[in-house]
Amino acid sequence: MNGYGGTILRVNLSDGSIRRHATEEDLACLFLGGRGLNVKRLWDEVPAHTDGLSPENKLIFGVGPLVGTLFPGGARFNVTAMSPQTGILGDSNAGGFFGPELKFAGYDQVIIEGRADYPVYLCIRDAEVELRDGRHLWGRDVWETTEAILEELGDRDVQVAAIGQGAENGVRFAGIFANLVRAAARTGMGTVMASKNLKAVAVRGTQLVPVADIARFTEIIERLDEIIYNHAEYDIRVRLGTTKLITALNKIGGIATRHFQTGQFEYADQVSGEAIEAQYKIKSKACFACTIPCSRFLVVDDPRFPGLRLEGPEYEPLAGFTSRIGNGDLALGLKCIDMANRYGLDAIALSEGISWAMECYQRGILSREEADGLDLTWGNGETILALIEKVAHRQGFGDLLADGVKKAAERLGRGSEELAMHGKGLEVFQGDPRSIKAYALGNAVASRGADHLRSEPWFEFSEDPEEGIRRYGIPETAFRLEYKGKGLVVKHFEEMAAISDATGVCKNTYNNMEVLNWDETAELLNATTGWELSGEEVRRIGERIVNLERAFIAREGITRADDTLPRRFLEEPLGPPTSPSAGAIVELDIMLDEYYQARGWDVETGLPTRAKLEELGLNDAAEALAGSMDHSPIAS
Amino acid sequence: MKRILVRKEVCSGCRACEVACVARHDGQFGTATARIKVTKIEPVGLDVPNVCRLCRRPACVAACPTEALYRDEVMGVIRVKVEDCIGCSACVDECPFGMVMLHPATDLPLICDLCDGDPVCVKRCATGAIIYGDRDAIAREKREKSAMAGQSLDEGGAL
Repeated sequence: MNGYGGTILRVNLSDGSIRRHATEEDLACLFLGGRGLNVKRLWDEVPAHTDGLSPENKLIFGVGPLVGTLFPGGARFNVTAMSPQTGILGDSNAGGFFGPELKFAGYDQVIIEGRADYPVYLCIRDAEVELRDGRHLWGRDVWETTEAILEELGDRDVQVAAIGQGAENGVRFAGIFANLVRAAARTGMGTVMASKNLKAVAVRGTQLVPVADIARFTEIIERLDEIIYNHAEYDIRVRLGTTKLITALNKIGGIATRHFQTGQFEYADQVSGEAIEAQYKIKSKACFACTIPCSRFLVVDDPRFPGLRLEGPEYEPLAGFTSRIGNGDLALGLKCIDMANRYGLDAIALSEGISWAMECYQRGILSREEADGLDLTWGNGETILALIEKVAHRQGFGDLLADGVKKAAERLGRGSEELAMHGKGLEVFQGDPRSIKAYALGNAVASRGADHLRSEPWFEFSEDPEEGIRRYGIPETAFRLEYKGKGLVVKHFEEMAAISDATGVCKNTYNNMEVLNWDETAELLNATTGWELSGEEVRRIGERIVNLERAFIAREGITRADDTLPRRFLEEPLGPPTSPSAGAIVELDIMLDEYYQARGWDVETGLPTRAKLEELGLNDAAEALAGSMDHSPIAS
Repeated sequence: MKRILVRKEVCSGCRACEVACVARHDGQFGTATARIKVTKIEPVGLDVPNVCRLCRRPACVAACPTEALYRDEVMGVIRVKVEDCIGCSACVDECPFGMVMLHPATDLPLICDLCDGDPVCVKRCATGAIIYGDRDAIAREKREKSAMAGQSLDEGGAL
């Protein structure tokens, strides 16, 4: 099967069975792979209301048809399961080298079922697949685990995806980390892995993946490389990666600062991507086959943190451990990121938990005694480091934060609930939604809970009204503080993001730099697979994935009422008064109406309609939703 | 004579070179049959492209019991006489740089052929970690860098 590993691997940890079957080409045509094929599998095999931590949950690793190819950054693997953090769709992906290696071992999907009696790790070397004793690895961090496995297998070309102590201890926002720092960390996929007693997946692949038309593929990539090298953002992306956003978002007044109490951080210059470059960057690093090496290897020479070396970071953890928690000390922030990576935690959720606690303390909702005597003043380094330790080990006050901010606030009460910055139980990212309306909408409707990477609607930064008219018929779409047309923008970018995640490519190139349009994507996929997709058919695959995910979370009870944002974003004007975003709030309802209409969903309930689901060939989803909801638009 | 020169300090470790090599020689995607290999030691951020060094007195050729390998005097590359190769991997064992491997499907030696003078790995390298140039170019670069250490052409109004 051109472009595919060709095999689905099914590992049952309860009985130790290992089964294989051919990748279904008919499903691949409808869902591609990665996130798409994963949600299809989850929908088919994991019943509604399955407990995320039960053996009945399934943890699905998947790669798409562009993974392991010449595509710059065709590197990503996707992990999907019922989320133990949010109780809805769990899904996360990461770059690096694990995804391509899995494909080269011959697999498009690895489905983990059941629960092992004791800690194991899964070792995949081409057709040779075995469960190995992992008891000696339990209790070790991501770096130690990875290194121990590489040594054990005697081959540094082996790629390891591992969990750290956070997952083992049941922190609900623990991730799966490949190549040490490549984090699939949203929605608690590491927590699911730990619940199955699976410490790591190690993979080595030496197969070659057949491709339908290598000459055509190579020709398209040569064209792509030219577009990339000549792109206006190329230089800054190579220099700073996504950390360029510290300066950029601070400038517009949209950087999450002291838990979104304001949108500008007075120490932004000290913790920016530029500061990292000047002080600690040794060289550029990259994901598999990427011509935009946007990652960086850092050596942090600071006597407080001896031997601190790390790759990255991205904007999200960097702002999370600086502006969001009021910390202007860059080396400290990098230390926090390194700790989160080693313990295997989602940096967004962790920094939200810490900043939420700090705001509760600031407002007198939480006392020092309740926080194990820690001084929760903004930016207090000792407190921040202690909190990360406590969360990872679920000790003392850390136990409260380890369930994620939604549950933490429910336990604490006293009005702290409305300070909990989450959507559907997933913590909000490091951009202030008030300053970027399409992102606000994207966060509100995202299928895995509040998240920007389900849409990444960068177009609203473009300030190009003519392009806004060309694309959406609405000039306002090109401006971040405008509302009109943002429903159309988010719909469009959700479909692009779905295609990124289902093919396995990076959103920096595919979404933000828009290196391929629908027709060109079809051309590339056709050269890969030998299919004859049109650009519109590719878009519809994206739409199909978004709709099946929506059906999945609707089955869990999600409706329009859940498509919302924390009260602060809807009611409190954004400061400071001098910033270009001063006074902004989010008027969500007008955008939601427009979005549901654009999606062909029921505007009142936000549920996908039978007509739309059937149009996309999702008849079983239509049936299931009609059966599960008495008054759904589907039933009528 | 030109060869592939390596500046490991700027290698991002992406392995695009390996994929490009395999795409050209096998018409498929993968890394296992690449004739260039990036060794990665992630915890310390080390990425080292390994290439065929086009030895003047190649150990692989000397090791071959059937004279299936020979040095192309024009390009400097090692060529394989497919019909004479017995797939014994003596060349693999003897290359001091570990840069001869056998193709998993054919058991023929995988040795860099410089893509007939236009190496695709070099074309695909985004950082200049591998370059195709005069075999002494890196040495010259190092001499100049060493001579210029602490100096600037701006000083004294030279530029």
